[in-house]
Amino acid sequence: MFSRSNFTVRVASRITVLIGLSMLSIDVGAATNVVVTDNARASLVSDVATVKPGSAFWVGLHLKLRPHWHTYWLNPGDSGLAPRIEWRLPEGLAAGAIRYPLPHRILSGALATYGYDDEVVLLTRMSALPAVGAQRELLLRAHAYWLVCDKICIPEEGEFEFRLPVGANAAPASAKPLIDRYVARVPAATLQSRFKITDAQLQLRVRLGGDASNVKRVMFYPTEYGVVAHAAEQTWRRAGDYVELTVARGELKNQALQHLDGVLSVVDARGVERGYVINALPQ
Amino acid sequence: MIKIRSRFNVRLHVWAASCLLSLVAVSLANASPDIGKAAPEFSTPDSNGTVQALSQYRGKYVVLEWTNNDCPFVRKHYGSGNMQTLQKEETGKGVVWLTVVSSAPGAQGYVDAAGANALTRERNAAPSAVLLDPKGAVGKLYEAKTTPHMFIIDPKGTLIYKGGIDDKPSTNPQDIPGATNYIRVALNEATAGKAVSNPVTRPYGCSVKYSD
Repeated sequence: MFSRSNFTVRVASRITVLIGLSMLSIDVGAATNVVVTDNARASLVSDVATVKPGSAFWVGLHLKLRPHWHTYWLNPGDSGLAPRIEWRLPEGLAAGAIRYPLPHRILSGALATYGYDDEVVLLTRMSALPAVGAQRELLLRAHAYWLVCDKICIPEEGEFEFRLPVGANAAPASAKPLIDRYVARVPAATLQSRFKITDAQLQLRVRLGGDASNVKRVMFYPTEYGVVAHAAEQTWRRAGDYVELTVARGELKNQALQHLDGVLSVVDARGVERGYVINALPQ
Repeated sequence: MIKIRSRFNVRLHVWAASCLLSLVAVSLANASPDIGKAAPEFSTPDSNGTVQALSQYRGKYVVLEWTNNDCPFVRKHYGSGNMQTLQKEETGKGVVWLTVVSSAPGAQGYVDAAGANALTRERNAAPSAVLLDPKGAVGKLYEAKTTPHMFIIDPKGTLIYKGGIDDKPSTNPQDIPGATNYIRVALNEATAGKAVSNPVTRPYGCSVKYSD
């Protein structure tokens, strides 16, 4: 199944080059590289159909998992494993670290993990130097690893080859709406925040400004292991322009905490969820 | 004749195991598995029908290893021989190594006594004993979250380490040679009279398949 689709893609991309129709190359760019495993259909997608030299663009690892199965965030929580992508890129192209959309908390008995059910796009920001203009096409190679779990966990991986033509203008790809949807879920804005700790608890105070009055629910996801008890209830209250969130400390409660990093999910009264970056210093 | 005897043996073991299960002791005074404090006491049957109590090993270092033989993270360390090597190395120095199975019946990794012994033979493993914990009592006492999840108790009965087997969270055996094995490091430090430099680390692996 995998080799056949790969073959089709290769043939299609040759035909595209031969015919030289830009409309066809958009579709080929979006549809290449499908890896089908027992528990996932994985593909690389981009928001651009052609790469403009000297610009940045998104490439996403699109994972469609077996229904109700899940994969993990940067900090997987009590168990599990973060995905990994190893890039082999052409000269002039550089990849950033994986940018993770907001996860959600998956509770199982007394344990909790952070991840994504059913489907996710793990994003990587690519920067193309002006020098890539000398190339007709960029070949992005990646080896990706992900753990997919329900009651049991299966490690899976895939080898990807993704071809993107170079052009004077960055034309949008058919996957752009999908990418945009997940980019919108990547926490970008950093909120002013401070934390304090007691023996057992951690309190995070975040300035939300006028939005504070509109908050329905908040949840803090720490980047590092052991900072909070992952399965513990997070309580919070409004205090003027601020929200104060309190949660039990995690396994590293005996260690000094110089800074607290993570993301804050804020759900407003209409049910819209937004993610914010937290880089808090002690109060 | 042999059949009758083996059936009798099985019955005896089942009877012994059910009696022993009721003996699983939970010491509420030490209910939290905190570094530098007394490790939670337990008393639970092993795969040979012998009761294993933590307190009987005062004077020795004890390693607790949570396992689930079908978990890919456990397979990484057994398929490569890494776990067996460590077990042989440490038990050879007098360390007591207790492998614990807390998978509930029907869940991944659950084994009965015979199954546990067969796994030890097949994998050429060298634990001092394999503890059968199908109700998860010992697992919950230690708040064991993953397989593997490792704990070290010093000769005074104090918990000196809890966390991962090493510092390379993955299912890939090729990561083992470049990893720092936290158990080896902690036991070397402790036996040299030093404090354990990393007493709490991230345990990585599958979730322990508790009954609830």
